[in-house]
Amino acid sequence: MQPANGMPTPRDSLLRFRLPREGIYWLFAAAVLLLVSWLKAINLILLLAYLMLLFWGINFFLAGRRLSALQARRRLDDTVTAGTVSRAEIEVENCADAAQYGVRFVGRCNEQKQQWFAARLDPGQQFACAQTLHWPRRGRFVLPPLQAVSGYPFGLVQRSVELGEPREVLVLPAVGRLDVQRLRNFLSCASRGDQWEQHVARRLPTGMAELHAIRPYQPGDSPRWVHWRTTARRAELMVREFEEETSENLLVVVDPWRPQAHDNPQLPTRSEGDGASTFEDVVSLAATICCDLQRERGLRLTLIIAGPDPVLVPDASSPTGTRRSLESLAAVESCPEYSHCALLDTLDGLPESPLLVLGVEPEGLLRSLSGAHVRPAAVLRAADLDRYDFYEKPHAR
Amino acid sequence: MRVDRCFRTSFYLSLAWACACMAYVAALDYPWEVFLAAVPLGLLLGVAYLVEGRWSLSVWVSNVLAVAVAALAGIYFARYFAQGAHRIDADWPLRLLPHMSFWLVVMMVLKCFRPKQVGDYWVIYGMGLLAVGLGCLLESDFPLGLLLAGYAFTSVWSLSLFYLQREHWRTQRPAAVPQPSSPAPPVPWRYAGLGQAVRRCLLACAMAALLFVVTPRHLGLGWEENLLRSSQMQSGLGDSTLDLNRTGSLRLSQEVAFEVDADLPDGQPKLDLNPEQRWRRNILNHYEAGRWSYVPRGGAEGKRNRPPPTGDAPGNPDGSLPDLGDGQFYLKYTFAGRLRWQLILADPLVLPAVGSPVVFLLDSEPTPVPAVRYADGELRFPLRRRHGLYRSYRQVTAPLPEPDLGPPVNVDEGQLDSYRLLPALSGLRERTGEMLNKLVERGRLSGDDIAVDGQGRLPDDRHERVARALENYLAQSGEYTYTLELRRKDATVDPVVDFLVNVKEGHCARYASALTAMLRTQGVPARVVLGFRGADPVGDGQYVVRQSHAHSWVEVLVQRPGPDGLPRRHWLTLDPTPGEEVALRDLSAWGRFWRAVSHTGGEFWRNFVTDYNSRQQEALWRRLTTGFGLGPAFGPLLLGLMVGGLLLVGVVVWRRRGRPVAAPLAAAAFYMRLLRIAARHCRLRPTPAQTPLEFAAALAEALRQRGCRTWEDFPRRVAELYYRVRFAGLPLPEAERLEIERRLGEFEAAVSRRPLWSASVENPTAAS
Repeated sequence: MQPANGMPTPRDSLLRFRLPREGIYWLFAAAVLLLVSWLKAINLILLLAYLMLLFWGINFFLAGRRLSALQARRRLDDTVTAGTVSRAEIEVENCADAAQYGVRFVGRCNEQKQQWFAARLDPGQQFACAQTLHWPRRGRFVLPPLQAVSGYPFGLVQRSVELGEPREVLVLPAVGRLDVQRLRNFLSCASRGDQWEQHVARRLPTGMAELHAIRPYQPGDSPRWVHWRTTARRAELMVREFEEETSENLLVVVDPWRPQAHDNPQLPTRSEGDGASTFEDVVSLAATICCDLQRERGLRLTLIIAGPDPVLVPDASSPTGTRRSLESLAAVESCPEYSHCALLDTLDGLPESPLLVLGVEPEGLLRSLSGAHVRPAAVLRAADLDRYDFYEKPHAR
Repeated sequence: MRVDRCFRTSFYLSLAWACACMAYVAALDYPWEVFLAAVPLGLLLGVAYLVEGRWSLSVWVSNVLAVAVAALAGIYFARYFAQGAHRIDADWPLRLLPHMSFWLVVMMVLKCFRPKQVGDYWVIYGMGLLAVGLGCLLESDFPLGLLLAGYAFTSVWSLSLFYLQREHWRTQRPAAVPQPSSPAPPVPWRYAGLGQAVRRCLLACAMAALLFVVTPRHLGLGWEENLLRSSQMQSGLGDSTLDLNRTGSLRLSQEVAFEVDADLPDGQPKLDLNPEQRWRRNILNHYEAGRWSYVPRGGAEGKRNRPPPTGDAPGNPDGSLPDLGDGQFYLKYTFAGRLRWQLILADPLVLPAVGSPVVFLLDSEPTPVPAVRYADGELRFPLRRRHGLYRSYRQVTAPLPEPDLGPPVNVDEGQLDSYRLLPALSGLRERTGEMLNKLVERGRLSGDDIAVDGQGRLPDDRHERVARALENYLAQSGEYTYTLELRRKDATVDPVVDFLVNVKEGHCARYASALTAMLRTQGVPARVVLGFRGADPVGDGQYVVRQSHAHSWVEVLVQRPGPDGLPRRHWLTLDPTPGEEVALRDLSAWGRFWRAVSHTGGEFWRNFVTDYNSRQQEALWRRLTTGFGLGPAFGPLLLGLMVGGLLLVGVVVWRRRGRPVAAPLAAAAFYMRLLRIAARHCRLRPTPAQTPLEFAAALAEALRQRGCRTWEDFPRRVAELYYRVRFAGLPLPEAERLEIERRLGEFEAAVSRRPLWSASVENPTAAS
């Protein structure tokens, strides 16, 4: 797991002031007592009212006085997948020269709120906690900065400050499980073997493959690839990267089209939700293919995400290519009708490879491909995914 | 100690203190009832504290109890109103105040047995505040002030812990329902936060006192005068009777009864008014069933007429007051309240001649109205409804050769009999006889002095001697003592007899009544006089007379030879009430010291808290301006300082409100982080004379000793980078900053001997 660094940056955070409900009631009661006691010349009640006001004043002065001296670091997982729960490790340090009391930290993520409470933070003391982050969907999210709130000592006044900067998090699509061999068999059957079997991979054993580079460890790497000497020197896991000849090519095209909800009674009934969920299945399938085929040596995967502006990931089977594929798939949005010309132009520039089309209902795309004399090796529709034995959806685990 | 336990202790302590405030006030009137109620309620509060969080009343039980309490309260108040007993005679609903306190405390204690959320705790705090507020409404003496200070302190302490507790609950679950199993954090202060609470309380009290003193006051009646105008159990002159049947504790009210401006004939203020000056209001000449009242006899002497002007004087602007010769002075009376048909005059009355008025009503239209002299020597204004309730009149008086002897009076036999009239009081004559015999035994009187005639009366020429002897016996013998606790021992006998024979202690009314009754048994004409004794100077010839100065004394009709040698009758003033010095004689040195301290504290409390009004404020202001010698400039200067200070605070607060918080030396934050890592894990801090590179070398040495050789060079690199950023002014690129921060994280993991990305704990902790 490659941690993302949550380093403190110079911030322009404002010290926000808020009057909580208790403070409002307190001030109201004090004002009433003050007014009545002054009018009726009840001196003891007047003293009592002044005491109440002054306690509020003391709270106003003390609340959150040193919140600005707090510095927070938040470490997130570099890879976050939809439908999973990740953790962010937070460390807050009191950089003030005096202790702080009664500070509550609030972490928000996707309308969920988590809170922690530190009764006392001495100067230089660190406060560690872990924020549970739920990512129900893929896409780009902004993780708000940690908020420090204090109403010390009575809670009649509240001040808050944001620690750190908002963080943009790219949630990758959920990944299922792919049986590569069965996929090969399916592709062979679907394409009648003429295209696919021409490109049988000649895999080289790992030991005979040429060493291409040494790179940091990534999830999915085999422990056998660890280069221990470099690891010891750098105090960081480093793995070998081999140069291999790939002789299998596969072109995966993702059609972002999905049916929209309509009021036409002549057409089959559709709902917005149905379309969205099946499109997510398509995206998950594409992500699964990219991830699982990455481990297949000798297979060169090219990913194209169709759309008005197609996204091409030429080396989707490499680690960096897989990452890029996932990031592209994370950001893809479904769209209604779009022109296939850009896609066809992109395809023209690519070497001939078996074409795998993924989509909710890619009939429109297939027609365009047919018109361009491009015959896909296989078409995987979202509605049919349950019938395929080579793929297991993410939620079925 | 954990926050939850400490909070629970402080919460119940604060409640107990609020109940104590209320109990103190209620105990002044109902001591036994309060004692009987306080014990079980206190025990219940203690039980609630012990079972908090472990057991609570169910909903239906608490509902049943609430209905039962409401029903009992309803029965109680119904009975209260049916009996017509009123402690205070103010308007509805103020009459209910003394009786609401008990039920409020009961409801508060019952609520403590229910499960509580944050809102419930606030409600109970509010009930405690209400109880204290009720106490402050009903009483305002020094002990209550101390209780109020204690309540403020416990509340501050409790509220601080309450804040920590509810913040902790908030992080446990959204509903903030306290879970006994939830580990609460320890109290973050030493001594459970008591020291902080004391400091904050003292600060708040000091500032509140300052605000209290400078708050402008409106001209109006004080709260006590409005609410607690009861002559029964409070000093002061209520109605024109004296009821000796009442018992209980008499409280000294410090409300101002009236003000007097004393001026000399040349207009200068009279600053040497007798501190024991008596002020007479009305006389009581009829006694029946333990009550003294006034039954008028005789009419006015002469018609009301205006004497010729006697010359102008500043204190006599319209020239209507007579000239009484050397030593005379003028008194102007002003009443803040409403004085009904009564004159209060300086005693003794100086009446130069029959028909010469010495008192004029000032605020009547169109001209001042003189008072009329009556045959018994009293002065009264003609009872005219159109005069309404007046507030101001003027009197001229002068010192007499014999201060206790009034002017000669013409009292006919009918009036004389009225001053001898006494119902048959069993045991009174015997007790009087015993006393007189004792006086004879002690040589104060002779046997002839106490010999009565056939009618059982003393000869006229013996009246004064016997009266003075009896007065002296009551005041100085030590057998009778002064107290404000009025009690009875034998309710079957007359209160006067009970006092003389059984109780032998009381206040001025009892003594005056006893002396008058004893003298009447010997045929000596005597009467009780109600009025005031003493006055508090406020400067510039102004004096205030308070309700606590209310006093009763006796006037005895004695004979003195006149200028022509013929006997003339005079009213002789006698005061049989023993002074406090008699009571103090029985006290130990510590007792006297404590009494002096409490007296001084009580005076201060009275002057600057309970009785502090616009007049006091003005006097204090005057004292400050003259004391500091700043003169008229003091006021604007002080006001300017206060306004300026407030503006400055407001500007600072406003600017801090939205000010962006700049990270201190953000560009060099990485170096600060290195210092913190070194301090925490290597216990190494830079000395004041150490440069960053020197410190880096020292840190490198420390790392070598710890075996972290791979990181030896790192501190030097950070220090060089710091030099570049801090002193060379070269900005740190973002990528380099991220890199150095990453390396600092690795460095920290290495020196702390823990993995870089350790599993985080579930519960929030403070990593040391």
